[in-house]
Amino acid sequence: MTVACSELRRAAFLSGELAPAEREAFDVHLLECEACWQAVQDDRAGRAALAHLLTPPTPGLAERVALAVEVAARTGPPAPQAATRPAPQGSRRRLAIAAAALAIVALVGSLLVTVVGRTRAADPPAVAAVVALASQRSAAMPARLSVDGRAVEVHRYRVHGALTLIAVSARPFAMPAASHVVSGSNHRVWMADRGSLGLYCVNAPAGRHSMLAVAAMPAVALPSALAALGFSPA
Amino acid sequence: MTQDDGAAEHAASHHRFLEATLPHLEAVSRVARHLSQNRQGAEDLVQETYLRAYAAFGSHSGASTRAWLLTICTNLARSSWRRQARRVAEEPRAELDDPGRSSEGVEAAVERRLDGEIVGAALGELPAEQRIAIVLMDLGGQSAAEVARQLGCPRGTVLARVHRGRRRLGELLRERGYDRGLL
Repeated sequence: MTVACSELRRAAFLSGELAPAEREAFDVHLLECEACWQAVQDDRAGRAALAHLLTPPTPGLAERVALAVEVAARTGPPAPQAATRPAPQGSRRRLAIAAAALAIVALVGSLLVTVVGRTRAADPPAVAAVVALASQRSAAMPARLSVDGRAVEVHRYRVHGALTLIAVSARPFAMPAASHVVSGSNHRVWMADRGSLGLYCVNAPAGRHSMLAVAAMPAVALPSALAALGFSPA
Repeated sequence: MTQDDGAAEHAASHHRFLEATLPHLEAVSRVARHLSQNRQGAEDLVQETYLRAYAAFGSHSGASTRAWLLTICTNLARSSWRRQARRVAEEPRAELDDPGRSSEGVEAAVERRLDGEIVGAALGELPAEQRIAIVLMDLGGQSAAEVARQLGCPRGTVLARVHRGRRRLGELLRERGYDRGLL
């Protein structure tokens, strides 16, 4: 069998998709055709070189991705439902029982959530993201989060012995419901307490970065602790 | 359903989502790295891919989660969201860089990184259609049929683009005398 030069045939040969007889014929062709032989050599060299790009993900990426998803899970709008697959025949009864069980679980769950919800309204997404990160001591730092289309850069410091997260963003951090304004009435600087964590935020005017500090100390203690390290609302 | 109910459902479902998708992080990060301008852009792209995937998890049929994630990643890379995104000022991020495998020496780690940078630079010089096909197939670990579906072109076209791209890559490296274990 004689074989004409063909890019598609070379591609099929290199991806191992030629039938045995075609492959054998192409092998013979390669011995006779300098152009095809060089093309095959270059392809193999290119593929071997690409092995150098099979690198592992950046350290900590999995944790940052998981955190970003967790934040979306806590603060995002619509809940993604389980992927639906065709139910096998004869499973309607089991589905009905499962649906009833889910309804009961949902009822109990809604009661629990209502109780929790009354104690404190959900924080704005970016604030919730930083607070969630503060509870993960193993999270790699600095972390870069994407929340509601905004980038938030988070660094960890030790301030007066307490691990402190400093988050900066090009957009202001919205003030949570359970918080209080520190200066003026324009929500520029606010504080809040979340359990053992204190939150202190300085929102900058447009064009400058806003800062949110979260640490295991009362919020009221954060400004002076940060000022000692050179952070200031200025 | 109240907003709190919705948030609770999110919290319950995200574990299932992560179980299904995190095993493919390596493929997504490799593809993102070579569809982005720099390392930070790649990480943004990976995070955005996972967030979009999470939001759309309900419509995922469950077949080939890796192909599904890479489709989202590729579409995002093509769209303009990163150009519009407001960015925090860049700063040195040496601590996020790959410090090298602990079992290898410094020289080997540096050499490995150099190899990757040289090959990555050559890959970046390929025409976009060849580069994307190679990234999705050789770095994303997908079949030609999966890549063809993602790019909306015949399977033979994908094979031809990958072949042309690999050839050009081999030529570029040969022209530059780069033959350390490659050629």
